[in-house]
Amino acid sequence: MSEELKPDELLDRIDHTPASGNWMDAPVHIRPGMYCYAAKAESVQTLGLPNARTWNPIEDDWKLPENWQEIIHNGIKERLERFRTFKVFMDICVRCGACADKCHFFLGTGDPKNMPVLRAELLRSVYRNDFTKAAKILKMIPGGEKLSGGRPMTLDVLKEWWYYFFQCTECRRCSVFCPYGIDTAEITIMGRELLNLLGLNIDWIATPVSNCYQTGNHLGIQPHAFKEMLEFFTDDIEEITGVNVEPQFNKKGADILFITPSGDVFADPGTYTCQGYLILFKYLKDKYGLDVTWSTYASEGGNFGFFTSHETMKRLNAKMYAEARRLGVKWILGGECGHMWRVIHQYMDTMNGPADFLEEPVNPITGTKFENAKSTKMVHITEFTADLIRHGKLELDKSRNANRIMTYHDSCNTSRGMGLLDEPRYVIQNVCDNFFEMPPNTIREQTFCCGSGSGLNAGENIELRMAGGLPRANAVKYVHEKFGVNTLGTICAIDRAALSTLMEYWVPGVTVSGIHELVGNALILPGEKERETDLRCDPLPGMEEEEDE
Amino acid sequence: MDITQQLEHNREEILKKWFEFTIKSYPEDTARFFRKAKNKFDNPVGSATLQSLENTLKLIISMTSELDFQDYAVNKIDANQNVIENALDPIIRIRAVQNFTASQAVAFVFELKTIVKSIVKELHDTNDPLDREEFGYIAFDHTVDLVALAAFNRFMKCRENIFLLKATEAKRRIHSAFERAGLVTELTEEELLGSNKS
Amino acid sequence: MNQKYMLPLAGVFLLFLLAYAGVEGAGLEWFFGIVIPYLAVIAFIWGFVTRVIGWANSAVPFRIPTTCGQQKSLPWIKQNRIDNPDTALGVFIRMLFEIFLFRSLFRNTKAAFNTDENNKLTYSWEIFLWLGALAFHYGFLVVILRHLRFFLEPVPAFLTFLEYVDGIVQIGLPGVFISGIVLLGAALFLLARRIFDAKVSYISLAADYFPLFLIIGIAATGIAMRYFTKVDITGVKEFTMGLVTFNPVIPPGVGGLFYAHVFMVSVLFAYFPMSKLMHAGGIFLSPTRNMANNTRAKRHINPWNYAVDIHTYEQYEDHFREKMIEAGLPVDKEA
Repeated sequence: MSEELKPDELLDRIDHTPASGNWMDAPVHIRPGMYCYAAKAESVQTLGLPNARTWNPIEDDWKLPENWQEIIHNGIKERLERFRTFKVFMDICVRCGACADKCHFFLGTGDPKNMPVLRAELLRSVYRNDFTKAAKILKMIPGGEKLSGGRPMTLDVLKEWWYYFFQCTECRRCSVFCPYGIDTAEITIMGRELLNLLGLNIDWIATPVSNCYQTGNHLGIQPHAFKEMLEFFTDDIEEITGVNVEPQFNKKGADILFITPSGDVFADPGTYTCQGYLILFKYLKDKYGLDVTWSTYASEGGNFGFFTSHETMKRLNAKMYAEARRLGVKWILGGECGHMWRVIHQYMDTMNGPADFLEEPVNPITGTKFENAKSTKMVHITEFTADLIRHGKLELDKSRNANRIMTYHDSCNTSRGMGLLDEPRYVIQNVCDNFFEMPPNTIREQTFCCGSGSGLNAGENIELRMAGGLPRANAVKYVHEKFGVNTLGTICAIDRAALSTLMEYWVPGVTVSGIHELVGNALILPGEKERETDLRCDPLPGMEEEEDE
Repeated sequence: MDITQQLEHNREEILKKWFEFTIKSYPEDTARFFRKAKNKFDNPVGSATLQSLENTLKLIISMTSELDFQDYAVNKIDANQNVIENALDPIIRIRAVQNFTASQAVAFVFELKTIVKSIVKELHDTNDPLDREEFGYIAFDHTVDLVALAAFNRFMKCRENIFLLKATEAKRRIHSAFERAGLVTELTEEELLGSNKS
Repeated sequence: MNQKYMLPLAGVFLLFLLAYAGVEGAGLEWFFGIVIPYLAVIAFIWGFVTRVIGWANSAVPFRIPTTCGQQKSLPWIKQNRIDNPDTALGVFIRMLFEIFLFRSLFRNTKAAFNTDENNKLTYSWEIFLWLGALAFHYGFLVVILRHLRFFLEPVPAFLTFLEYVDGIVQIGLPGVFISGIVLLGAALFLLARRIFDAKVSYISLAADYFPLFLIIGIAATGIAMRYFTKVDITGVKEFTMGLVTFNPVIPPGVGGLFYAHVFMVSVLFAYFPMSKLMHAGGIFLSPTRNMANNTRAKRHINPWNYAVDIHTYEQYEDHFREKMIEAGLPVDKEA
């Protein structure tokens, strides 16, 4: 942003035009509020990742290994061979600028290096210098070095990488508009892999990864505690509905293994979504005898390894299939989560498959074959629920959500890395009467990120998150003012946490809710008592006065 | 024409210059993009800034015309303060998360004086304080000061809001669920916040 | 800032002068007319092929298309077969749209067609980027096709027809070809955008200006020869036919301007494979566009998929067994 100015200078109204011209010459300035704290040494050590040590990004010395430049160079080289995306995207950008104003971080922070093209150029400039023939030829011509657009890998460049690759949420919005499909998420993923070779992760990613590896979930909730959490929800639900939903854990021979991000188990308002799942499974068990089990070992759907490196992603993801095999279930059902679904949809089968020990998923209640999941054998819960609703298998009381005026936020990963757009909308419209879309250039494949994805949902970078979430919040504000929207539906655990805070800052009066929280409210359990409150213990529509008496 | 009429007469031009100055506080390349405030959803910063400045300018004009020095009472300032703050809210709320210092974030308000002086001819012609008062400049001057104070207020509120969100977020996210389940002793506060205070 | 485009501009001027002076002054027709074009074509073919092979040699470990519409899921949900294809045919159509109509770039313009508060349609520069890019590429294509008449004998009918359509406005003599004007205009527009649109100017490199100047130079010399200096067409044809039949000749009476034109085209050819112009080949290999979104239905194989260390259930149970038993969770091995 603008450079520091003394007040008297400001009053003198010195026209300050910040260093313009060549972006390569503008040094990086790591600003508080925009960056996340460095990874703790212990967390890096758990997975045996390189260069575990205590370090601080705002100090000059990052405690890098002696040969760090060589490590980076070899790292780039290896990845160019392994990933065609990386190699092609390094070569073919014409810098047309179509992506420039598509990034929520650029729109919100105004920092030109947050334009997707420039974020990629940070890496591309080094690539051009070290790996292309053009640069080698041009270096022989006087003045040619400038023409090649390359620059050598220096400590300043490294710091710039770190700063800006952790200001990208890998949301892929820019990729939609790129005439060649260049995906900045892919470049950020490579950038972060390279940084991780030098032990340059952030703690909000490294610690959940370490916890997940050892304990099974991001927060390190131990098995007994995980069970107690769900039992606690069971008590809550019993109080509201009079029905004991009794979840099952680690049950061998169950029909379906259910995996959801642990955020749903420990973080408000995801906890209400979790209660929605519990109600749904109880209903299906009582009505149709469907046997669903939870796992304490594979108790994390999310995968912060995805934000570290492909290898780490694979190591964490392996638990899903391993547990499904051990329990002998037929197939796996996945809860509401964004990046978890990108990993499952586009990576899991390739990394840890083939899942030949599972059956091709069929909904035993409706007989629907989930053709689109016949190899990976994992079904998204909104696909599953939409199918049940379509076949009239759920008894729903929409009036219990009558006080909700809904809009729906497409999560980046499920929309641009999967195309799950209409299933959640179908579910919403069947459990709630009032639904209004946000403007078309902010939803579906053009959806704006919450600003906190890809492991950036920390506390210390809250200014970055609020600024990055502005385009999303701005669209919510519009429907809030125009249609009186008071509930923002979403199918992502990070959204549920991040958008809550974002709404409090930009659009007070809008609450964030998972889709299955609404399902849980509307679904009529066999033998339930007359409900007076919703899952948040707020009075149901029409029950407010009775409360008062 | 007194100052109110002058302001009304030149409103478009004043707004244009004011917007221009405000937007210039961003890096040049970004500023040129923000300037295109056409689509509210593709360019939230530019359009919110323009909208907010426009509302504030309208307010300043109406306040300047109403400001009565004989009847200048503190409670009137307070009543106005809220209205001004609401008009300023969109622009200040954005600037509060964009790494501006407090002075940089609100400097645009003072600039209005310079802009008006450069546009309204009568102000050049007179140095006599009495004329200036007659013309209404002092009332305008004072109104802008009030707006500046309101801007500081709103900026501080936004910053407090951010710190509050930061503090409550971690708790709401993790702590409350654990607390309800009586599991909180398993984890230390520091682990919950996931920070090493580096 | 200036350096970014002044240097390439000076470079292109220098190239022009080099060839012009070389021919007019030093009589180096054979060098600029024969040696350089052959070398350039060799460099182009060799460079292009190596580049594409280089890309093709990199693995595609994951199937990661960018999905821009509804996926194929339940039978009653309408899939967007083009923007989120799950079959090879869908991918093919998606690629056709992308390559011939610049669909993604067009998506960019839709946001620009919004109505403002007064319900007026608002435009922005985005539509012009799409239009400019289309005009530029198609103008170039027609110009290149038209030039085939210099390399083919007899001239095929479709070329005559193309020329007829291209010259349909019938202004002046010789008749104006629209394609050349469109190409020059579009290139100038793209250049202006790079210089005057702040955010594009900020991201632009010298390597972005150089090909633009070069193409502008080529188009300008071409137009100059056709309409103003009226180059000796029979001589040119004799020259080009000599090149393609590997029997090169230097016909008399074809001036320095022509050789400068040929030289700049040669430079463009040689420069092509080592520059961003390779996007022409790269778009076909872009994994976010050329893959079907059917990863869950059909397993994709990663050629370098290696085994990794994982934290197994056994390790997990060993670690937590007592606590699990105490909590009533089933365990595989009793303590």
